[in-house]
Amino acid sequence: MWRFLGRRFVQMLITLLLFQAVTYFLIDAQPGDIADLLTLDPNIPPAERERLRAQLGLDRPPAERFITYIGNFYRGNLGVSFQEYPRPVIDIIKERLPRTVVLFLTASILSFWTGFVTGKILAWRRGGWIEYASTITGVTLYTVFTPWFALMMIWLFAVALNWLPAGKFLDPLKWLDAPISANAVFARMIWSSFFALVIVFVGFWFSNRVPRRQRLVLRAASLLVPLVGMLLYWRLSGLGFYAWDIARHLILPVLTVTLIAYGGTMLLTRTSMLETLREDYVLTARAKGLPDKVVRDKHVARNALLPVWTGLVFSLGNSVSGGIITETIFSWPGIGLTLLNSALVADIPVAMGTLTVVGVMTLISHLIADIGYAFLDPRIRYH
Amino acid sequence: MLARKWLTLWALVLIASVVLSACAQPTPQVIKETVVVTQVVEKEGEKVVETKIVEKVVTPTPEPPKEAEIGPYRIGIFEEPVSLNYWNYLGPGSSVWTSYVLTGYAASLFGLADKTFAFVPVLAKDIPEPRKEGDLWVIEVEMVDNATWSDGEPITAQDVVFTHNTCKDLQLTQNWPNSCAPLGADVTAEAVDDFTVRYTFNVTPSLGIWNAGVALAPILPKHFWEPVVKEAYSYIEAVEKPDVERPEDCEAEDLSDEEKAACEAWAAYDEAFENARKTLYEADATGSPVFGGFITDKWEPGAFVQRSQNPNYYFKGAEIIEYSDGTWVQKLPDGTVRQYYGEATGDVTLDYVSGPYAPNVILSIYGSQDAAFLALANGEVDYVLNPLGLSRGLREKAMQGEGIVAYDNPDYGMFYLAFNMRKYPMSEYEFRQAFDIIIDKEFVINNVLQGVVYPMYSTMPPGNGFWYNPAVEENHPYKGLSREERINLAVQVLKEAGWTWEKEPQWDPDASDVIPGEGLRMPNGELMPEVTILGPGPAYDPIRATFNQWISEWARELGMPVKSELTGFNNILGPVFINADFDMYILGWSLGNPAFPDYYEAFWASWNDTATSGNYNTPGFNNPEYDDLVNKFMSTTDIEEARQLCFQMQELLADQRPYIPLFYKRVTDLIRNNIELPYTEVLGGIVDAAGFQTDAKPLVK
Repeated sequence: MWRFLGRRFVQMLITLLLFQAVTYFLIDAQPGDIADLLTLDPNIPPAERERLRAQLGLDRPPAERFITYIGNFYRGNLGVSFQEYPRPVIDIIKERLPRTVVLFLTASILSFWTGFVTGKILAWRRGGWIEYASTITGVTLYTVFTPWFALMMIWLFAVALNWLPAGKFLDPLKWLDAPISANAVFARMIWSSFFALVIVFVGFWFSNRVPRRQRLVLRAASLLVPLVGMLLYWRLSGLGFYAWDIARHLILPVLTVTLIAYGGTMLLTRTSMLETLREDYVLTARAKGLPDKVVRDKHVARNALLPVWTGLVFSLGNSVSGGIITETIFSWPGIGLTLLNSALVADIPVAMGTLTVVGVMTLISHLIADIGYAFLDPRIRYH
Repeated sequence: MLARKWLTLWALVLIASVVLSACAQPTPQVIKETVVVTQVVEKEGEKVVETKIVEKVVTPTPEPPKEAEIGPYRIGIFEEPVSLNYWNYLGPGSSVWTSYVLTGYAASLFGLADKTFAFVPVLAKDIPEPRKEGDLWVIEVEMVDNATWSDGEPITAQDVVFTHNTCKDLQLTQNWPNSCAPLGADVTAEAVDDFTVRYTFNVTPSLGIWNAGVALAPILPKHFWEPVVKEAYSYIEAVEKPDVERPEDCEAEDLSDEEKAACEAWAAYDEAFENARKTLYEADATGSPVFGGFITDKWEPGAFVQRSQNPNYYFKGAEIIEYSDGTWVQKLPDGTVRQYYGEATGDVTLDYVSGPYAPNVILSIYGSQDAAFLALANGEVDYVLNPLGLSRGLREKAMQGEGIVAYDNPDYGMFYLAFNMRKYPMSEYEFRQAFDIIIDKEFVINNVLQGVVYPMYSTMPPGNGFWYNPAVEENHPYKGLSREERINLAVQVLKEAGWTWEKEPQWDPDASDVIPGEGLRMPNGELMPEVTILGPGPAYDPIRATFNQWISEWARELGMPVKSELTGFNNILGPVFINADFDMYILGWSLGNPAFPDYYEAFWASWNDTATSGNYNTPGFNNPEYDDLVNKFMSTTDIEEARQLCFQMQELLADQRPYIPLFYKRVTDLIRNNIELPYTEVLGGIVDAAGFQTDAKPLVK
């Protein structure tokens, strides 16, 4: 396993380098550069344009710039933004990446869980009107035009029903006298949610190893303890009001992304389950007289999980770049919006920084998928 | 099974009741009062006074009208500011979005009047006259002595000199040189006393150098920025300017040892200045005192920028009055009255009292233009700052919001067709004239574009009334011609200049159309080569793309092989502004300071030819008569003389046609009707009104 991991790590590094080379030269090949755009003003003399080009390093050949960039990158220096000069790219990424990760991680996990559970049940209970309705809904959500759907969601929940905010990260009027920044509150939200999830996960994991009677108590406790803990924490910190404002703004984009991703997961699970159901060992399990729930959940679903797992892990990797449309429509200031804006104005360091994040996330998600296979399917072994 | 059915039914009933109760109209509140009533009743033929306690339905008396409450002013923007550091804002971080959040940050000695854009004092007591001292020119400005920064510190001549010297000594970049060394002039500033600044110029302080340059320069608080500037100076203190000339190309392989040494010396010098500037541009501006009505005190990246009232704003409560005869009057709260440009005899065209009124200005950052206008319709913001123009669809969508009003104003910009006059046949006067004849602006604008823009004839937009020469449009020879007249006249002009056709273009009266010409030969006898009109594509700007296609089509009717090339903006930048290698192009300019149109030098003076100087005379227009006019224009100190020169330049350009002006846009501002603005008619739209934040009253409704 360790040899496998080592080999994969080297492969990942080479792939990342190739990816960076291709993306760098593609972005650089755009006609015009940011110095032209920033100095397109008759009051700015041409010498200033040349000085700016030299300052940004744009007067040097692309290959030389790429080598410098890569050298700096692997020393941990991602450069400074051209558009927000002289702000370091790493600061921009640190500020915006958590927002994207939270939005898409939440949506991916929710869509995976709901899609998997409903897909599993639908495949098990075939032929009813619920299956037809769910399949049509799933296909609709899977094929829907994302910008249109997102705008419809805004119209329904924010304009017509006025239940949720139309977009953005927070409501400025509520933050006028906020004692700390939104980013600090958001960071606390991430950490508190993370610890809560860890408690839930550990609690559930242990609950499978205790007698049936204590299981329910342990599970209830592992849900209640983090919930009460979170409520207490936010209440005592005095920041609950602000955390709730961010959370409220998160609902609509998460719901939209979840619904879009849900259709695909549900359909994939259903198809995968239907294929597995035809396997001989499922017939054997039924013939042995095992309860339906055990056959469905332990014999069929676990084997049907592999392609769904692949879909989930890859979607996590792609979510960083795939959020451009969602982030733009919901004014969610994440990495997707940053990538779009930087690419449009040829802000090479920021575009490269965000694309590299996308590349790294994708490579890591592939690695996680591979490792996950070994856990999910005992037949898979890496040497 | 039965239980499940009951459960479902119960859930449905519950949902239905919630929905019904949510949708139900609120019942009007009935107020009952227990009152003691004394009445006369007749009992057994006798009238008796009886007292009873009864319940009476009372109608609540309306509360007396309160003085209008003013709430926060919520503005939508759809990009982040780059920085809250003002040095950076006028340097590499220059962006329109930053300007919105930093408006009013810096002080200045002079400014421009609200609607007339006349040159008026701000912190200067009066408008001084330049005087000559030996070879030098001197302007001494006396400042008001009671203005303060937002932290209460007085604004003095030391602040003025500090800002000027920082700009000059650190060789600040981008927009800064126009403040401390406009048009390359050597300007020194010194504080005579705490409230008197003395400027010395090595050239005549013309309108371009003084009125549009040094006089409008920003002033920043010395007491806040001095430590940062000191640190920046530390990079350049030990560096001396190399006493050798800067080699042309330090990357060349065959450099001599002397050249290599010179390159190294210059590189060290440049690096020192770069580090100094970077120190300044990177500095944290949190807590910086300001001059204007609002202090930018919080920036939540990706969310909003918060501005709070400046308690020490110098002009709070000042009354500004403008008259139709051009008079500008300012009455300060301390009783000082300043009056310029007339005797206040005409009608009052503007009268308001300066704010700030709103307790806060909240600039919410949205991800896109659509999202921002959706927020306006939804009531999240009162106004959207929109430098990108507004499509009809978006306007209609936003107007569906409650209480949204639209204000249309002319933009201070120009969209034009430019010829590369360095190339044949674009260098031919009659070729450009033929284009001017065949372009039917009114047809494209009214019949194709449904009047979304306005036709333009002069190189000055009509909205800038002071500088606009109306005679150019009034005397335009081809305005209002029919299609037939245009084609016939264009053919005649070209024929007289020696152009020939194998098959001449003809007007077909039966088809009411042109039979296109073929085999067009130029005066030199050669067949006319294919020429291209570069222009932005319909996704970037459908108006320019439409003009491009119609102009190409009309030129092809004349037999000219003209190709319309619609492309990305970045693809136009190189051929037009860097290499000057194009045939024709269609683009637009935002024209900058309306008080002094120095773009007449930038765009058409021969010394600014893009091919030779890298400047912005993209057509390569080289006309000694024009150069003479523009020289006088840039060096005069007399505004009336400058105006007459500007009129002459407009006429000459309309005749020579390096540019053919096509149209100017209108700016549409959508704003909620609870925002009271001192005026809404202003060149460039509400955002160009000086006090669009400070003087707005966001009434709570």
